[in-house]
Amino acid sequence: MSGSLIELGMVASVLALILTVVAAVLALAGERLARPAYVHVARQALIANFALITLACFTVVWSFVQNDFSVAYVTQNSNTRLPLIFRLTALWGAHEGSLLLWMWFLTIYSALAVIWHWETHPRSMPYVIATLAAVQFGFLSLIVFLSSPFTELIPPPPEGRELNPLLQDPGLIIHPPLLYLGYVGFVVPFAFAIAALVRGTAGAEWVVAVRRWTLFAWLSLTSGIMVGGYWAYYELGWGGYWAWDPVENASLLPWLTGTALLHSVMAQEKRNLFRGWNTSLAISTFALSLLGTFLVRSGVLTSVHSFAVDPWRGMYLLVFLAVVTLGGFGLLIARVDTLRTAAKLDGTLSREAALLFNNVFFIVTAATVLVGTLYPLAVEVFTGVKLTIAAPYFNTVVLPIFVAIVILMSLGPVIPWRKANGKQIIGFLKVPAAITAGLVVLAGIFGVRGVVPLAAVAGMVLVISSIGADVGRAVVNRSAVSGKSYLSSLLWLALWNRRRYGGLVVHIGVVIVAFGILASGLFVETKTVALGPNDRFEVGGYTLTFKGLQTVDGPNWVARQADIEVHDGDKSLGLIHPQRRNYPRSDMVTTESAIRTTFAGDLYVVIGDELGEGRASIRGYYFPLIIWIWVGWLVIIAGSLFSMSQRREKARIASPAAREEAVRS
Amino acid sequence: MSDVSDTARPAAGRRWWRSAALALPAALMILFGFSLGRDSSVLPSALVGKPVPAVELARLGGGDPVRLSADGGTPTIVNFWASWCGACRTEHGVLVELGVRAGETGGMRLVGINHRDGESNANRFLAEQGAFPYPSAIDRDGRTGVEFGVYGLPETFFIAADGTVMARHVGPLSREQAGTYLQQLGVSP
Repeated sequence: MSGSLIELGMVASVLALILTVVAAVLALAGERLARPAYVHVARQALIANFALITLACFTVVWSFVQNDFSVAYVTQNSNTRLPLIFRLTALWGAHEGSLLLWMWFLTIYSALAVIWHWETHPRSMPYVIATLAAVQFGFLSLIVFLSSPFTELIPPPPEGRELNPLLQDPGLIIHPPLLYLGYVGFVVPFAFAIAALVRGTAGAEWVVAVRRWTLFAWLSLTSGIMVGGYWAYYELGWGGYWAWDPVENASLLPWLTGTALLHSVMAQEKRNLFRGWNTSLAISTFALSLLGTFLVRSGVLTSVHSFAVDPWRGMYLLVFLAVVTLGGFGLLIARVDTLRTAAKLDGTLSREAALLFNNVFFIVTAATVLVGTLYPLAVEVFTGVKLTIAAPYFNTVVLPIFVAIVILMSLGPVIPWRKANGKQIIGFLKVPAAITAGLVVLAGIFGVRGVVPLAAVAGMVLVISSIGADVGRAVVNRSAVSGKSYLSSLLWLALWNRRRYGGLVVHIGVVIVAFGILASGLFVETKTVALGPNDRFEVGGYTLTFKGLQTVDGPNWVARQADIEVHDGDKSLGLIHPQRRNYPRSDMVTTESAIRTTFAGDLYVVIGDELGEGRASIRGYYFPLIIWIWVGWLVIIAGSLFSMSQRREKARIASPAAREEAVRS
Repeated sequence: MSDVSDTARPAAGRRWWRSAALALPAALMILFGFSLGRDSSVLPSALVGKPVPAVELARLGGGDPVRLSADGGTPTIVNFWASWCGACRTEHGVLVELGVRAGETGGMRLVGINHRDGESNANRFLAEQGAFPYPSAIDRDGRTGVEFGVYGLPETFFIAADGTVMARHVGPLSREQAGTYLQQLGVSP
């Protein structure tokens, strides 16, 4: 019976593919022929596509739950011994299902965009619908014709193979969806950018439409990267969380341009600056999201287990990427003049100038990462020499720019719009700079060496203290005006300026992340030892006693496990159990490191080779303060959500901007 | 599009960035186009140009041990496979054909190496897919794979009559690719 269920998924996808054509044609025809009803039907088609693709996803997930091995995708990525939770999430365990999930997110974003902006952006709507429908068409064609997760096997095999063991882990269950949610989310700003270019107008209403979508996509992408880093940290067993791997870089690129967009869009909102630039950032960010998908999914980047890549998929993705990128940039070039405004920078000491520098830094970083990622590919194509660009290149080039960005963060949010003078700036920064100087000296005494680390410490302290000084001033003023306490004044200010205060919280989160990266990198302690039963060794102030090895059986794996007792001084903290798991069906070994996390630092233990007679080699690390990287991420989430919760801008656009939208075109 | 605050300013002298904005992505696309056409299965190997490592392993299914050495005197194809390797199914037919031809003409020799596999699983694989018309050696702990520098299955090595490793192929082998490699060994494809 369920064989017909998966066919239903295929039928739903084909129907959705037809509806994307209907939506694109009707939206544009409705605009040309002035038939609003056509546009309305196009809108309903995009909403219907959400239902259809939801159904398609359900058929695949249900086939996994039912262990229906007549579905090829299920056979390849699951077996009867796979725990239910992993069968539920195996949808994104491989290529075909990942694309379907991508597509599902795309239909969610599209449906929400046409529903939420239908009333507020009637003029842009036909082009937004047409763009979203075109992108949906691109991905659905790939799914239906070249990468179908609905393919059936006749006769069905009695048992399936295995979900990639690396994916059998909570971290990697949520990492890909978060990443896709981020990638796909930039489609809405992209659609609005295309609409703005076609119509030749990008007014305040454009900013409103773009800003929250960008912020949400940015938050998802940030979270995807952070969760991926945490997964790499505890699962891969080398103690690192970021390796400048091409696939990682691919996710960083849209993050960098998205961050730039998030900031520069403020200059357009407040000062009507950077209009063309913002549309180009929106287009670039989405193009880079597609580039990431292309690099990962086409097999262009040689990866150990990407042999069975169908070359047509890569070719298709390349053509799609080319259409989006060249189409988007071509339109930009042809039409950007219509977006020019008479507004210009009033002074180099101003908020808008700070935003400009912010953009320059982020774009330079993005360009650096792009070059570093693609250079080996270019060399290989033209000379046949294989080479890799490793962490040292990126660390040397990118880290100083990041430090510059952190220093800029201390100034950006407090400097006034239009024009500030040097005296004002000195006034703002007097106290923060004094605190910073003191703490940098302290850091030097505690053993922080080198220009970049010390500059990073200075930047971090400067950001926190200047935010503190700025908020402090505002609270004191508010308290004097209202006669309320400092605390209630702070709450009042934050609630009425959620975007600003949310943004400041995000900045604090970024500083906390930077703090964790810096501290754990500078003061890491590591030891590799060969131990027999009851031998002990010390790392990071802990004493570790090796109790012996045992074999542990899991549902679909067998592990060798070391039992190690941890002592802090004389106090026993109990046993930890690093493992090496063998997944016999896929002949893969994964490392399960044992991590004891505290806010002061992580004890991190991995088991190496067995040396016979109950002996084993054990590697212990101590990463001071590393958990703060992910604490900072939680702060970033809180700040972003707080910022997004401001709904006042809706009321604001109802008047002048909406009128502007209605009048133009 | 009549908006007072939105007057278009002359864009003369700014043309260069327009060309750049299109040329850069276009160049990227062309690069990707080339890289898609590139055969990622040809990997450099430290072994190429060197004598094949000497191997003596138990034979899958029993019988005389399987031997490989630099003084074999016959062009040899060494194929690493396993039952858990999905892509090995793809190339199975090609290898069987090659094996049949080697048996008929005697101009070359094929050796399979069953890499990091269970014997019962390997036999079931051969029962399903059809047995190889040539012997396979059991490399249960993967030691021989390490000597050859194998990192992903399937991998195939092409060894000339004088025992020199001529080429290494990663990923499933196609008929056309096999033909090209055989020419390198001096065997008519």
